[in-house]
Amino acid sequence: MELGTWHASNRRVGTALAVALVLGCTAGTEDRPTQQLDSLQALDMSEPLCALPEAPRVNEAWAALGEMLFKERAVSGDQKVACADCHHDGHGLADETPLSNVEGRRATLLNAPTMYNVVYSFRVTWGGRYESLEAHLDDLVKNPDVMASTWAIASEHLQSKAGYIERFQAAFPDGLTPQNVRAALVEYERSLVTPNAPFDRYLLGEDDAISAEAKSGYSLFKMYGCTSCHQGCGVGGNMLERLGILREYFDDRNGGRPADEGLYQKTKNERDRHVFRVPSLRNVARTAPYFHDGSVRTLEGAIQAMARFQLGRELTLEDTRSIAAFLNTLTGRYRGKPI
Amino acid sequence: MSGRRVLHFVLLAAVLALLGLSAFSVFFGVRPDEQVQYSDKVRRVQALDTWLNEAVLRSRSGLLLNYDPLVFAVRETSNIHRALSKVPSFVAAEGKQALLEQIEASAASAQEKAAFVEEFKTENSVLRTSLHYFPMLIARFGEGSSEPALRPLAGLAHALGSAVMLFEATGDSEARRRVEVASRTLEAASRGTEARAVRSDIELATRHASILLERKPKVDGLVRRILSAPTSVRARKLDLLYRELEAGALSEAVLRREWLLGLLLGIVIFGLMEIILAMRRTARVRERLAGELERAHTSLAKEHERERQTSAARSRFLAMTSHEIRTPLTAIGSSAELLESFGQKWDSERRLDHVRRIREASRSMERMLEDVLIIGRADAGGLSLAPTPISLNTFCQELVEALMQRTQNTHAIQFSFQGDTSVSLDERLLLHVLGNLLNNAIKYSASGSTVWFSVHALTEQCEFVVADQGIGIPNEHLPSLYVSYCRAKNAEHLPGTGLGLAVVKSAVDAQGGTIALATELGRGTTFRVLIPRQRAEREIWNAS
Repeated sequence: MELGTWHASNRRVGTALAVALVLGCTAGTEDRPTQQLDSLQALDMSEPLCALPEAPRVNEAWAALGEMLFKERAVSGDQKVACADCHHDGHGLADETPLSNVEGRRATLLNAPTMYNVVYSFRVTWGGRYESLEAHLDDLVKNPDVMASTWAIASEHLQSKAGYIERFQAAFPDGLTPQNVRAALVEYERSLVTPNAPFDRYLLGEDDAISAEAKSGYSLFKMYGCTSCHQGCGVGGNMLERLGILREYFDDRNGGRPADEGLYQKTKNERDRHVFRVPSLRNVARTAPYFHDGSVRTLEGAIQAMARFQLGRELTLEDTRSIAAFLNTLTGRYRGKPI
Repeated sequence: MSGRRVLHFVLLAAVLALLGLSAFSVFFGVRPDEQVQYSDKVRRVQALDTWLNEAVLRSRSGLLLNYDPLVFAVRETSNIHRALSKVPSFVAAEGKQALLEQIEASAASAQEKAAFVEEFKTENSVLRTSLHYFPMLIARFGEGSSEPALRPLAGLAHALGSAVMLFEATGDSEARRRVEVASRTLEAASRGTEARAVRSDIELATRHASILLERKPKVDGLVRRILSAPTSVRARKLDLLYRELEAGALSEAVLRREWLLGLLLGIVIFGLMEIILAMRRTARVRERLAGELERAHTSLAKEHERERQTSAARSRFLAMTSHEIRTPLTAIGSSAELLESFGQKWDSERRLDHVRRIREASRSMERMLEDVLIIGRADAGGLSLAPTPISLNTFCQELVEALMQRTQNTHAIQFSFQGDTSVSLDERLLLHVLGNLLNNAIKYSASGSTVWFSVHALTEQCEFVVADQGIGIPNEHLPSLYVSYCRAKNAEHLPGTGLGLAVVKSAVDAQGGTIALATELGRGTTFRVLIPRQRAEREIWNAS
């Protein structure tokens, strides 16, 4: 029988029932709305890069609470460390020192990356270990070198802090619970998007949004093959790649640190050794130092290192500057304000 | 169980079944929104799979320059599988298990494919970077180049570039060999040059060429694996299974609907039947009550009539006694007074006459009292039968003689007797019957007329017939003929208690006999009494 006929007869059943007993129907479950295939298919994919969409709709009350929690040391087990201690507000939510040194914690093994546009990264952390923000946060909170806490402990600490109970009650029907602490933080992370970079405006047709030098930098960026990896809306963040393709990155360095193993740390698959998530280059000019180990202090240095290890070529200073000029146009605005 | 209770039971069962079915439909029935959303998701698994394949092919060919669509397709596929594991409530437990297994299989193959896609992204990026390099190499070694060190190598660089392009286009072993040869030749030629930058360029070119040789088969292999992954087959199987379950659930829903309508119809019909039956029952009850009311009315009227009669009898009794007792009492009183005053002077004949008057009056009172007593006893049901052997002929003759003596032969009594004279009868009751009948015959007929008294002793019963030529009984009096103290209009001027025929009737009844009469006003009356003979007593008589 055809589907349409079934639907029709089904409706009739429903009507008959309703007439017979005047019983109401319960609404079906509303699934998380997903991007429509059709609209995605219609996108012009002839450019390797695309403009960042406007910020996704978030629950503002939750996000505001999440921002407070992001800066709140009471979330950690010993109430000494906050997320913001490594992800500095004035530095693109990244750490300006190569490795983070927080009082009461061992020095980190990786450079704290920017939190902006994390929602557009298909994996979280340098090694691409986590596939969702929630999974990442769950581990981070438990990690003895980071938060050394649990959601329950964090929630308990917050109970005794002034104002949180009221704020949570205002934002969540069930008030301050471990689940809601996590939900607020995730919502804040989701809100951290930076659209309207000059380059986005350029892509959307505003020809003078970026300088001629930046335009030529973009051409070089494409020509040298950077866009093989740094592509998509995030200018990276949508794939994994080995660090050191044409030249070994770790040859002349101490590459034996667990943090240098990349995805291998998780999978123990030899193929994944030194494989990292390709980082998003959005706001890259504001988030020095560079690479997982924070070993490069300047953008130009990072561009040259990438050309050397990934593309096998030494870039001229001129080309490097052009590309840096292009990368500078990727600095967006958070909630309408420049970073 | 009565029909009514069965009906109620059926009605209750039908209503319960209706409620049960409806509840089932509400909780486990097919909800259109749920069904549409779920089937849409099931179909989307296939659509996404196709779309992922297309995106991979476009990425490989360079038509698609970023992986965002691939990331989206992979993530969306995983999300949909997660959402699918929340099976709609209309899928039964058995089907749910099978469906979950299919979803699991589909998700597993999708995940496997996603791993290949991930590897493809990584490898394809490297391949594309290397492919990117060769146009730049050719440009650098091109004719327009001003560096003298490059000129001898330009041809070789071109050869490598074209070999690489051929290999990328065909991928066969001949093309591979050409790349290897061109690469080796270029490398060998570069050893002769002094320029370090040129050597480094050549080194990079050969490195990219070797990457290309290594990665192209790898990437193409990954593309093949992605395209041949069993995801589409699994998704199709899942779709088929779900359609099957959906169709099953929908046909069940239709069946349930039919049941519901059937039950509803049944309830309506049974309800109507119940109403009709209830109306009928009410009508029957009303009818019965009306009957009862009427009967009550009738019995009340009867009771009333009896009461009236009793009251009438009482007043008649009082009237009779006031008259009938005073007359003999006056006679006795006056005779006794005369005897007291003149007894000494009167001759014996005259004295005797007054004594006789007193005796006659007292006898009359005695008879009257006896009649009253008999009626009283008969009314109380205490008139017992005590038969004794008697000579019926003698008994009747003595009765006639006594009567004639008392009436001083005013009437002629024609007595006849037939049959067996030795019978067993209650003498006293018989006397009441015959005495009263004969008395009446004389009392209500003119002097000088004849009274017939015939007795016929038959085998089974005795027949007594008393006929006169008297005044007769009016028809209107016949119904109350045997009622005590009742007298016919044409007899009211004659002395009498109104007890005679009542006594006769009671005495006949007490002996189990019957009484009948024929009468004509002014011509006379004939009574016929039949009294059964007492068999046992007769036998005793015969034996003695």
